[in-house]
Amino acid sequence: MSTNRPVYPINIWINEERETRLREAGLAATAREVLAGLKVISIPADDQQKDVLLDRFPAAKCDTATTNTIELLPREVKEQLFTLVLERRSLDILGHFLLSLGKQRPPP
Amino acid sequence: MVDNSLSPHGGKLVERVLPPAQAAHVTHGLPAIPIRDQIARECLGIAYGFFSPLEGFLGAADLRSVTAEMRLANGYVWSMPIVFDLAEEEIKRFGVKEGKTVLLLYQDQPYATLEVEEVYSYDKEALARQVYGTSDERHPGVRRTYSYKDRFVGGKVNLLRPLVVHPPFTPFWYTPRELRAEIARRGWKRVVAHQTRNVPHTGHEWLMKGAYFAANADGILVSAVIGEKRPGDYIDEAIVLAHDRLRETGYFRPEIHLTSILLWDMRYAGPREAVFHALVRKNLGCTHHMFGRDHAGVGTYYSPYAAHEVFAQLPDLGIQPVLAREWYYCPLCAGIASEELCGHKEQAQQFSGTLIRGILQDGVKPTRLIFRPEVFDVVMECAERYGFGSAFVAERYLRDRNPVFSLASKEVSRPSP
Repeated sequence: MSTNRPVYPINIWINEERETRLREAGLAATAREVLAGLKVISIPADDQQKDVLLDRFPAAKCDTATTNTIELLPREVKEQLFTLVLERRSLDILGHFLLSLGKQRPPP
Repeated sequence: MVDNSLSPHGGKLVERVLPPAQAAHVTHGLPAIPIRDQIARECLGIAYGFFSPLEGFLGAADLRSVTAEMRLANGYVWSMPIVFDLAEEEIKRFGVKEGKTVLLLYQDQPYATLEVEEVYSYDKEALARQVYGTSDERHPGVRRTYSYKDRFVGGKVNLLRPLVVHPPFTPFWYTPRELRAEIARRGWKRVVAHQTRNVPHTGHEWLMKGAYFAANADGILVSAVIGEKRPGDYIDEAIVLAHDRLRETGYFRPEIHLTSILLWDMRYAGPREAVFHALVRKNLGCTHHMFGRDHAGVGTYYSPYAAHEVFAQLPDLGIQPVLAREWYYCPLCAGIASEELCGHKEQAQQFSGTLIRGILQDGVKPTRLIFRPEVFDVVMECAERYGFGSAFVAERYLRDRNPVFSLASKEVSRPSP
Protein backbone atom coordinates (compact mmCIF):
# COMPACT_ATOMS: atom_id res chain seq x y z
CA MET A 1 0.00 0.00 0.00
CA SER A 2 1.32 3.45 -0.86
CA THR A 3 2.29 5.48 2.17
CA ASN A 4 1.46 8.74 0.41
CA ARG A 5 -2.27 8.14 0.36
CA PRO A 6 -4.55 8.54 3.36
CA VAL A 7 -4.73 5.48 5.56
CA TYR A 8 -7.87 4.48 7.42
CA PRO A 9 -6.98 1.97 10.13
CA ILE A 10 -9.31 -0.81 11.20
CA ASN A 11 -8.56 -1.48 14.86
CA ILE A 12 -8.80 -5.02 16.16
CA TRP A 13 -8.68 -5.24 19.93
CA ILE A 14 -6.51 -7.91 21.42
CA ASN A 15 -7.66 -9.95 24.39
CA GLU A 16 -5.54 -12.63 26.04
CA GLU A 17 -6.62 -15.37 23.66
CA ARG A 18 -5.85 -13.24 20.61
CA GLU A 19 -2.55 -12.18 22.11
CA THR A 20 -1.50 -15.83 22.46
CA ARG A 21 -2.41 -16.51 18.83
CA LEU A 22 -0.49 -13.43 17.69
CA ARG A 23 2.54 -14.54 19.66
CA GLU A 24 2.39 -18.02 18.15
CA ALA A 25 2.28 -16.46 14.69
CA GLY A 26 5.33 -14.35 15.51
CA LEU A 27 3.28 -11.17 15.33
CA ALA A 28 3.35 -10.09 18.96
CA ALA A 29 5.22 -6.92 18.04
CA THR A 30 2.38 -5.74 15.80
CA ALA A 31 0.16 -5.13 18.84
CA ARG A 32 0.54 -1.83 20.64
CA GLU A 33 -0.81 -0.84 24.02
CA VAL A 34 -3.43 1.87 23.87
CA LEU A 35 -5.32 2.04 27.12
CA ALA A 36 -4.53 0.56 30.53
CA GLY A 37 -2.77 -2.46 29.08
CA LEU A 38 -5.34 -3.12 26.38
CA LYS A 39 -3.68 -3.77 23.03
CA VAL A 40 -4.74 -3.28 19.46
CA ILE A 41 -3.55 -4.12 15.96
CA SER A 42 -4.41 -1.78 13.12
CA ILE A 43 -5.14 -3.05 9.62
CA PRO A 44 -4.65 -0.30 7.07
CA ALA A 45 -7.22 0.53 4.40
CA ASP A 46 -6.77 2.99 1.56
CA ASP A 47 -9.43 5.31 0.21
CA GLN A 48 -10.85 2.86 -2.26
CA GLN A 49 -10.87 -0.03 0.21
CA LYS A 50 -12.56 2.18 2.80
CA ASP A 51 -15.31 3.05 0.32
CA VAL A 52 -15.87 -0.60 -0.60
CA LEU A 53 -16.09 -1.58 3.06
CA LEU A 54 -18.55 1.17 3.92
CA ASP A 55 -20.63 0.24 0.91
CA ARG A 56 -20.62 -3.44 1.80
CA PHE A 57 -21.26 -2.89 5.52
CA PRO A 58 -23.60 0.10 5.77
CA ALA A 59 -23.58 0.15 9.57
CA ALA A 60 -19.84 0.81 9.56
CA LYS A 61 -18.52 4.35 9.73
CA CYS A 62 -15.30 6.17 9.10
CA ASP A 63 -14.56 8.50 12.00
CA THR A 64 -13.18 11.30 9.87
CA ALA A 65 -13.61 13.85 12.67
CA THR A 66 -11.06 12.38 15.05
CA THR A 67 -9.23 9.12 14.48
CA ASN A 68 -9.81 8.41 10.76
CA THR A 69 -10.50 4.83 11.83
CA ILE A 70 -13.14 2.60 10.28
CA GLU A 71 -15.54 1.68 13.06
CA LEU A 72 -18.56 -0.50 13.67
CA LEU A 73 -17.67 -3.29 11.29
CA PRO A 74 -19.57 -6.44 12.26
CA ARG A 75 -17.79 -8.56 14.84
CA GLU A 76 -17.60 -11.56 12.51
CA VAL A 77 -15.84 -9.42 9.92
CA LYS A 78 -13.26 -8.43 12.52
CA GLU A 79 -12.79 -12.12 13.33
CA GLN A 80 -12.25 -12.90 9.66
CA LEU A 81 -9.73 -10.08 9.38
CA PHE A 82 -7.86 -11.32 12.44
CA THR A 83 -7.77 -14.86 11.06
CA LEU A 84 -6.37 -13.54 7.79
CA VAL A 85 -3.67 -11.63 9.69
CA LEU A 86 -2.59 -14.88 11.35
CA GLU A 87 -2.73 -16.88 8.14
CA ARG A 88 -0.75 -14.38 6.11
CA ARG A 89 1.46 -13.24 9.02
CA SER A 90 0.91 -9.63 8.01
CA LEU A 91 -1.37 -6.70 8.76
CA ASP A 92 -1.62 -5.83 5.09
CA ILE A 93 -4.46 -8.24 4.34
CA LEU A 94 -7.42 -6.08 3.45
CA GLY A 95 -7.01 -6.62 -0.29
CA HIS A 96 -7.28 -10.36 0.25
CA PHE A 97 -10.33 -9.94 2.43
CA LEU A 98 -12.09 -7.77 -0.12
CA LEU A 99 -11.16 -10.16 -2.87
CA SER A 100 -12.83 -12.91 -0.90
CA LEU A 101 -15.95 -10.76 -0.91
CA GLY A 102 -15.68 -10.51 -4.68
CA LYS A 103 -15.85 -6.75 -4.46
CA GLN A 104 -12.38 -5.40 -4.90
CA ARG A 105 -9.27 -5.30 -6.98
CA PRO A 106 -6.79 -8.17 -6.61
CA PRO A 107 -4.27 -7.85 -3.81
CA PRO A 108 -0.80 -6.55 -4.65
CA MET B 1 -45.15 20.46 46.24
CA VAL B 2 -42.13 18.72 47.70
CA ASP B 3 -39.74 21.30 49.06
CA ASN B 4 -36.19 20.89 47.87
CA SER B 5 -33.40 23.32 48.41
CA LEU B 6 -34.10 24.56 44.89
CA SER B 7 -37.50 25.41 43.58
CA PRO B 8 -38.37 24.55 39.98
CA HIS B 9 -37.27 27.04 37.36
CA GLY B 10 -39.71 29.92 37.42
CA GLY B 11 -40.74 29.11 40.99
CA LYS B 12 -43.53 26.66 40.20
CA LEU B 13 -43.56 23.22 38.67
CA VAL B 14 -45.71 23.33 35.55
CA GLU B 15 -48.13 20.40 35.33
CA ARG B 16 -50.56 20.27 32.47
CA VAL B 17 -51.90 16.72 32.43
CA LEU B 18 -55.67 16.83 32.33
CA PRO B 19 -57.64 14.66 34.73
CA PRO B 20 -59.28 11.76 32.86
CA ALA B 21 -62.81 13.08 33.35
CA GLN B 22 -61.90 16.42 31.84
CA ALA B 23 -59.75 14.91 29.09
CA ALA B 24 -62.67 12.83 27.89
CA HIS B 25 -64.69 15.94 27.10
CA VAL B 26 -62.29 18.52 25.73
CA THR B 27 -61.58 16.87 22.40
CA HIS B 28 -65.07 16.97 20.88
CA GLY B 29 -65.13 18.74 17.55
CA LEU B 30 -61.48 19.73 17.59
CA PRO B 31 -59.44 19.51 14.41
CA ALA B 32 -56.95 16.67 14.86
CA ILE B 33 -53.32 17.11 13.81
CA PRO B 34 -50.94 14.14 13.74
CA ILE B 35 -47.57 14.87 15.34
CA ARG B 36 -44.16 13.27 15.03
CA ASP B 37 -42.08 11.68 17.80
CA GLN B 38 -40.08 14.83 18.58
CA ILE B 39 -43.17 16.93 19.19
CA ALA B 40 -44.73 14.15 21.27
CA ARG B 41 -41.67 14.03 23.52
CA GLU B 42 -41.70 17.80 23.86
CA CYS B 43 -45.38 17.79 24.80
CA LEU B 44 -44.39 15.46 27.65
CA GLY B 45 -41.51 17.75 28.60
CA ILE B 46 -43.92 20.65 28.85
CA ALA B 47 -46.88 18.89 30.44
CA TYR B 48 -44.96 17.14 33.21
CA GLY B 49 -42.87 20.20 34.00
CA PHE B 50 -39.46 19.06 32.78
CA PHE B 51 -39.45 22.34 30.84
CA SER B 52 -40.88 24.56 33.61
CA PRO B 53 -41.65 27.45 33.33
CA LEU B 54 -42.78 26.71 29.77
CA GLU B 55 -46.48 25.96 29.56
CA GLY B 56 -46.48 25.39 25.83
CA PHE B 57 -44.65 25.93 22.57
CA LEU B 58 -42.90 29.27 22.26
CA GLY B 59 -44.53 32.31 20.69
CA ALA B 60 -42.62 34.80 18.56
CA ALA B 61 -41.60 37.16 21.38
CA ASP B 62 -40.25 34.33 23.50
CA LEU B 63 -38.46 32.78 20.52
CA ARG B 64 -36.81 36.13 19.68
CA SER B 65 -35.74 36.59 23.26
CA VAL B 66 -34.49 33.00 23.66
CA THR B 67 -32.41 33.12 20.52
CA ALA B 68 -30.99 36.59 21.17
CA GLU B 69 -30.64 36.67 24.96
CA MET B 70 -30.98 33.07 26.14
CA ARG B 71 -33.96 34.26 28.18
CA LEU B 72 -37.71 34.09 27.87
CA ALA B 73 -39.50 37.39 27.35
CA ASN B 74 -40.30 37.38 31.09
CA GLY B 75 -36.59 37.30 31.91
CA TYR B 76 -36.16 33.69 33.01
CA VAL B 77 -33.12 31.97 31.57
CA TRP B 78 -34.07 29.65 28.69
CA SER B 79 -31.75 28.57 25.93
CA MET B 80 -33.42 26.14 23.51
CA PRO B 81 -36.33 26.92 21.20
CA ILE B 82 -39.22 24.57 21.95
CA VAL B 83 -41.36 25.12 18.89
CA PHE B 84 -44.19 23.45 17.02
CA ASP B 85 -43.89 23.68 13.26
CA LEU B 86 -46.66 23.31 10.72
CA ALA B 87 -46.85 23.85 6.97
CA GLU B 88 -48.99 26.70 5.65
CA GLU B 89 -51.18 24.13 3.95
CA GLU B 90 -51.74 22.30 7.26
CA ILE B 91 -52.61 25.53 9.00
CA LYS B 92 -55.33 26.13 6.42
CA ARG B 93 -56.50 22.53 6.31
CA PHE B 94 -56.83 22.18 10.08
CA GLY B 95 -58.11 25.72 10.60
CA VAL B 96 -55.30 26.58 13.01
CA LYS B 97 -55.74 30.14 14.21
CA GLU B 98 -55.26 32.24 17.30
CA GLY B 99 -57.85 31.57 19.97
CA LYS B 100 -58.67 28.08 18.67
CA THR B 101 -57.73 24.81 20.32
CA VAL B 102 -56.49 21.87 18.27
CA LEU B 103 -56.09 18.23 19.12
CA LEU B 104 -52.68 16.61 18.67
CA LEU B 105 -52.77 12.97 17.61
CA TYR B 106 -49.92 10.63 18.43
CA GLN B 107 -49.74 6.97 17.56
CA ASP B 108 -53.14 7.68 16.00
CA GLN B 109 -54.60 8.47 19.41
CA PRO B 110 -55.75 11.72 21.01
CA TYR B 111 -52.66 12.85 22.87
CA ALA B 112 -52.73 16.52 23.77
CA THR B 113 -54.49 19.77 23.07
CA LEU B 114 -52.76 22.92 21.92
CA GLU B 115 -54.40 26.24 22.78
CA VAL B 116 -53.26 28.29 19.81
CA GLU B 117 -52.04 31.73 20.85
CA GLU B 118 -49.99 32.64 17.83
CA VAL B 119 -49.10 31.47 14.33
CA TYR B 120 -45.96 33.06 12.97
CA SER B 121 -43.19 32.91 10.43
CA TYR B 122 -39.48 32.72 11.11
CA ASP B 123 -36.17 32.70 9.30
CA LYS B 124 -34.67 29.20 9.41
CA GLU B 125 -31.13 30.24 8.69
CA ALA B 126 -31.13 33.04 11.25
CA LEU B 127 -32.60 30.66 13.82
CA ALA B 128 -29.93 28.06 13.11
CA ARG B 129 -27.16 30.62 13.35
CA GLN B 130 -28.38 32.03 16.64
CA VAL B 131 -28.95 28.69 18.32
CA TYR B 132 -26.09 26.65 16.90
CA GLY B 133 -23.62 29.36 15.93
CA THR B 134 -23.52 27.98 12.40
CA SER B 135 -25.76 27.49 9.39
CA ASP B 136 -23.76 24.46 8.26
CA GLU B 137 -26.20 21.71 7.33
CA ARG B 138 -23.76 19.05 8.50
CA HIS B 139 -24.57 20.10 12.06
CA PRO B 140 -27.42 17.79 13.18
CA GLY B 141 -29.24 20.59 15.01
CA VAL B 142 -29.05 22.85 11.98
CA ARG B 143 -30.29 20.02 9.79
CA ARG B 144 -33.22 19.55 12.15
CA THR B 145 -34.00 23.28 12.01
CA TYR B 146 -33.94 23.28 8.22
CA SER B 147 -36.33 20.34 8.21
CA TYR B 148 -38.95 22.31 10.15
CA LYS B 149 -42.05 23.37 8.25
CA ASP B 150 -42.61 27.03 7.39
CA ARG B 151 -44.64 28.31 10.33
CA PHE B 152 -44.49 28.00 14.09
CA VAL B 153 -47.56 27.71 16.31
CA GLY B 154 -47.22 28.99 19.85
CA GLY B 155 -49.59 28.09 22.68
CA LYS B 156 -50.25 26.11 25.82
CA VAL B 157 -50.22 22.31 25.80
CA ASN B 158 -52.44 19.98 27.83
CA LEU B 159 -51.63 16.28 27.90
CA LEU B 160 -54.76 14.14 27.65
CA ARG B 161 -53.49 10.93 29.16
CA PRO B 162 -50.48 9.70 31.05
CA LEU B 163 -47.99 7.54 29.24
CA VAL B 164 -46.98 3.95 29.86
CA VAL B 165 -43.23 3.44 29.90
CA HIS B 166 -42.23 -0.04 28.83
CA PRO B 167 -39.57 -2.35 30.28
CA PRO B 168 -36.69 -2.15 30.77
CA PHE B 169 -37.19 1.62 31.20
CA THR B 170 -40.14 1.46 33.61
CA PRO B 171 -38.21 1.79 36.89
CA PHE B 172 -36.18 4.69 35.53
CA TRP B 173 -39.06 6.93 34.47
CA TYR B 174 -39.85 9.69 36.91
CA THR B 175 -41.83 12.84 36.26
CA PRO B 176 -40.32 15.91 37.95
CA ARG B 177 -42.94 15.65 40.71
CA GLU B 178 -42.11 11.98 41.27
CA LEU B 179 -38.40 12.52 41.18
CA ARG B 180 -38.59 15.40 43.64
CA ALA B 181 -40.60 13.14 45.94
CA GLU B 182 -38.00 10.37 45.57
CA ILE B 183 -35.18 12.80 46.33
CA ALA B 184 -37.03 13.97 49.43
CA ARG B 185 -37.69 10.36 50.48
CA ARG B 186 -33.98 9.65 50.26
CA GLY B 187 -33.22 12.73 52.31
CA TRP B 188 -30.94 14.16 49.64
CA LYS B 189 -30.37 17.89 50.01
CA ARG B 190 -27.61 18.30 47.49
CA VAL B 191 -27.97 16.35 44.26
CA VAL B 192 -25.57 16.46 41.34
CA ALA B 193 -26.83 15.53 37.88
CA HIS B 194 -24.84 13.54 35.35
CA GLN B 195 -26.12 13.87 31.80
CA THR B 196 -25.43 10.85 29.64
CA ARG B 197 -25.87 9.26 26.22
CA ASN B 198 -23.14 6.70 26.81
CA VAL B 199 -22.54 3.46 28.58
CA PRO B 200 -20.16 4.32 31.41
CA HIS B 201 -16.47 3.57 31.32
CA THR B 202 -14.35 4.34 34.35
CA GLY B 203 -13.64 7.84 33.05
CA HIS B 204 -17.37 8.56 33.35
CA GLU B 205 -17.44 6.86 36.73
CA TRP B 206 -14.73 9.15 38.02
CA LEU B 207 -16.39 12.20 36.50
CA MET B 208 -19.43 11.35 38.63
CA LYS B 209 -17.37 10.64 41.71
CA GLY B 210 -15.41 13.86 41.27
CA ALA B 211 -18.65 15.81 40.86
CA TYR B 212 -20.08 14.17 43.97
CA PHE B 213 -17.16 15.42 46.03
CA ALA B 214 -17.03 18.82 44.33
CA ALA B 215 -20.70 19.38 45.08
CA ASN B 216 -20.43 17.91 48.56
CA ALA B 217 -23.48 16.01 47.40
CA ASP B 218 -25.80 13.53 49.06
CA GLY B 219 -26.70 11.88 45.78
CA ILE B 220 -25.90 11.51 42.10
CA LEU B 221 -28.71 11.57 39.56
CA VAL B 222 -27.78 9.88 36.30
CA SER B 223 -30.12 11.42 33.76
CA ALA B 224 -29.99 9.43 30.53
CA VAL B 225 -31.27 11.17 27.44
CA ILE B 226 -33.61 8.92 25.49
CA GLY B 227 -34.76 10.26 22.16
CA GLU B 228 -34.19 10.09 18.45
CA LYS B 229 -31.36 7.70 17.72
CA ARG B 230 -28.78 7.76 14.99
CA PRO B 231 -26.95 4.76 13.58
CA GLY B 232 -23.88 4.12 15.68
CA ASP B 233 -25.35 5.53 18.92
CA TYR B 234 -25.49 3.22 21.91
CA ILE B 235 -28.86 1.52 22.18
CA ASP B 236 -31.00 3.13 24.90
CA GLU B 237 -31.37 -0.06 26.91
CA ALA B 238 -27.60 -0.49 27.23
CA ILE B 239 -27.11 3.11 28.39
CA VAL B 240 -29.69 2.93 31.15
CA LEU B 241 -29.01 -0.61 32.39
CA ALA B 242 -25.23 -0.13 32.31
CA HIS B 243 -25.46 2.94 34.53
CA ASP B 244 -27.75 1.15 36.92
CA ARG B 245 -25.35 -1.81 36.98
CA LEU B 246 -22.73 0.47 38.56
CA ARG B 247 -25.11 0.85 41.49
CA GLU B 248 -26.15 -2.80 41.57
CA THR B 249 -22.54 -3.94 41.72
CA GLY B 250 -21.37 -1.47 44.33
CA TYR B 251 -19.25 0.96 42.36
CA PHE B 252 -21.72 3.45 43.81
CA ARG B 253 -23.55 2.77 47.03
CA PRO B 254 -27.28 2.45 46.35
CA GLU B 255 -27.90 5.20 48.89
CA ILE B 256 -26.15 7.78 46.72
CA HIS B 257 -26.97 6.80 43.14
CA LEU B 258 -30.15 6.93 41.06
CA THR B 259 -30.61 6.42 37.33
CA SER B 260 -33.46 8.09 35.47
CA ILE B 261 -34.43 8.83 31.88
CA LEU B 262 -35.18 12.09 30.11
CA LEU B 263 -37.15 11.98 26.87
CA TRP B 264 -35.45 14.52 24.65
CA ASP B 265 -33.98 14.65 21.16
CA MET B 266 -30.43 15.90 21.44
CA ARG B 267 -29.74 19.02 19.40
CA TYR B 268 -25.95 19.05 19.92
CA ALA B 269 -26.13 22.78 20.61
CA GLY B 270 -23.06 22.78 22.85
CA PRO B 271 -23.24 25.57 25.43
CA ARG B 272 -26.90 26.36 24.79
CA GLU B 273 -27.85 22.77 25.29
CA ALA B 274 -25.74 22.65 28.44
CA VAL B 275 -27.87 25.47 29.85
CA PHE B 276 -31.01 23.60 28.85
CA HIS B 277 -29.76 20.43 30.54
CA ALA B 278 -29.07 22.41 33.69
CA LEU B 279 -32.59 23.84 33.76
CA VAL B 280 -34.28 20.50 33.17
CA ARG B 281 -32.28 18.88 35.97
CA LYS B 282 -33.08 21.84 38.21
CA ASN B 283 -36.72 21.03 37.56
CA LEU B 284 -36.01 17.42 38.52
CA GLY B 285 -34.75 18.60 41.91
CA CYS B 286 -31.00 18.71 41.37
CA THR B 287 -28.90 21.37 43.04
CA HIS B 288 -25.80 20.81 40.91
CA HIS B 289 -25.04 19.67 37.37
CA MET B 290 -21.73 18.29 36.19
CA PHE B 291 -20.37 19.43 32.84
CA GLY B 292 -17.33 17.78 31.32
CA ARG B 293 -15.43 18.27 28.10
CA ASP B 294 -17.42 18.80 24.92
CA HIS B 295 -20.77 18.76 26.67
CA ALA B 296 -23.55 18.34 24.08
CA GLY B 297 -21.12 19.21 21.32
CA VAL B 298 -20.61 17.69 17.92
CA GLY B 299 -17.70 17.83 15.50
CA THR B 300 -15.60 20.95 15.98
CA TYR B 301 -18.40 23.52 16.12
CA TYR B 302 -17.71 24.42 19.77
CA SER B 303 -14.53 24.70 21.76
CA PRO B 304 -14.08 21.77 24.17
CA TYR B 305 -15.00 23.86 27.20
CA ALA B 306 -17.57 26.18 25.60
CA ALA B 307 -20.19 24.72 27.91
CA HIS B 308 -18.10 25.75 30.92
CA GLU B 309 -17.74 29.32 29.76
CA VAL B 310 -21.44 29.95 29.12
CA PHE B 311 -22.38 29.75 32.79
CA ALA B 312 -20.40 32.88 33.65
CA GLN B 313 -23.09 34.86 31.77
CA LEU B 314 -25.92 33.30 33.76
CA PRO B 315 -25.56 34.02 37.47
CA ASP B 316 -29.30 33.56 38.01
CA LEU B 317 -29.47 30.03 36.61
CA GLY B 318 -30.51 28.61 39.96
CA ILE B 319 -28.50 25.40 39.72
CA GLN B 320 -24.78 25.18 40.39
CA PRO B 321 -22.62 23.96 37.51
CA VAL B 322 -19.79 21.62 38.50
CA LEU B 323 -17.14 22.09 35.85
CA ALA B 324 -15.01 19.01 35.35
CA ARG B 325 -11.84 18.67 33.31
CA GLU B 326 -10.70 15.45 31.73
CA TRP B 327 -10.11 12.14 33.44
CA TYR B 328 -7.76 9.70 31.77
CA TYR B 329 -5.77 6.56 32.46
CA CYS B 330 -2.30 7.39 33.72
CA PRO B 331 0.19 4.49 33.50
CA LEU B 332 2.43 6.15 36.07
CA CYS B 333 -0.33 6.74 38.60
CA ALA B 334 -1.57 3.26 37.58
CA GLY B 335 -5.15 4.38 37.63
CA ILE B 336 -7.71 6.90 36.49
CA ALA B 337 -6.42 10.41 37.01
CA SER B 338 -7.74 13.92 36.59
CA GLU B 339 -5.75 16.39 34.56
CA GLU B 340 -6.35 18.82 37.42
CA LEU B 341 -4.35 16.60 39.77
CA CYS B 342 -2.02 14.39 37.77
CA GLY B 343 1.36 15.69 36.66
CA HIS B 344 1.92 13.06 33.96
CA LYS B 345 -0.32 14.54 31.26
CA GLU B 346 2.19 13.67 28.57
CA GLN B 347 1.75 9.98 29.50
CA ALA B 348 -2.04 10.17 29.56
CA GLN B 349 -4.03 7.49 27.77
CA GLN B 350 -7.27 9.18 26.84
CA PHE B 351 -10.74 7.67 26.94
CA SER B 352 -11.91 8.27 23.42
CA GLY B 353 -15.54 7.46 22.73
CA THR B 354 -14.50 5.97 19.41
CA LEU B 355 -11.96 3.75 21.09
CA ILE B 356 -14.39 2.43 23.68
CA ARG B 357 -17.03 1.78 21.03
CA GLY B 358 -14.50 -0.19 19.01
CA ILE B 359 -13.66 -2.34 22.02
CA LEU B 360 -17.31 -3.09 22.71
CA GLN B 361 -18.06 -3.76 19.08
CA ASP B 362 -15.30 -6.37 19.03
CA GLY B 363 -16.74 -7.92 22.19
CA VAL B 364 -13.31 -7.85 23.80
CA LYS B 365 -13.55 -7.49 27.56
CA PRO B 366 -11.24 -4.67 28.59
CA THR B 367 -9.33 -4.44 31.83
CA ARG B 368 -11.51 -3.46 34.78
CA LEU B 369 -9.37 -0.36 35.15
CA ILE B 370 -11.14 1.15 32.17
CA PHE B 371 -14.41 -0.73 31.94
CA ARG B 372 -16.13 -2.58 34.75
CA PRO B 373 -16.63 -6.24 33.80
CA GLU B 374 -20.18 -6.16 35.15
CA VAL B 375 -20.93 -3.19 32.92
CA PHE B 376 -19.37 -4.94 29.95
CA ASP B 377 -21.52 -8.00 30.63
CA VAL B 378 -24.75 -6.03 30.81
CA VAL B 379 -23.92 -4.18 27.59
CA MET B 380 -23.35 -7.50 25.82
CA GLU B 381 -26.61 -8.85 27.29
CA CYS B 382 -28.44 -5.76 26.02
CA ALA B 383 -26.91 -6.21 22.59
CA GLU B 384 -28.40 -9.70 22.39
CA ARG B 385 -31.68 -8.96 24.10
CA TYR B 386 -32.57 -5.57 22.67
CA GLY B 387 -30.07 -4.62 19.99
CA PHE B 388 -30.39 -7.50 17.52
CA GLY B 389 -26.82 -8.53 18.33
CA SER B 390 -25.27 -5.08 18.61
CA ALA B 391 -24.86 -2.56 21.41
CA PHE B 392 -25.06 0.12 18.74
CA VAL B 393 -28.02 1.42 16.83
CA ALA B 394 -28.42 -0.12 13.40
CA GLU B 395 -31.20 -0.06 10.87
CA ARG B 396 -33.01 -3.01 12.41
CA TYR B 397 -33.02 -1.44 15.85
CA LEU B 398 -34.49 1.75 14.41
CA ARG B 399 -37.16 -0.25 12.63
CA ASP B 400 -38.05 -3.03 15.08
CA ARG B 401 -37.09 -1.94 18.58
CA ASN B 402 -39.66 -1.95 21.35
CA PRO B 403 -41.07 1.53 21.90
CA VAL B 404 -39.91 3.32 25.04
CA PHE B 405 -43.45 4.40 25.81
CA SER B 406 -46.98 4.21 24.55
CA LEU B 407 -50.18 5.89 25.56
CA ALA B 408 -52.27 4.73 28.46
CA SER B 409 -55.26 2.85 27.16
CA LYS B 410 -57.89 4.85 29.00
CA GLU B 411 -60.53 6.13 26.68
CA VAL B 412 -60.37 9.66 25.40
CA SER B 413 -63.01 10.22 22.80
CA ARG B 414 -61.85 10.42 19.22
CA PRO B 415 -62.73 13.58 17.34
CA SER B 416 -65.62 13.44 14.93
CA PRO B 417 -64.40 12.83 11.41
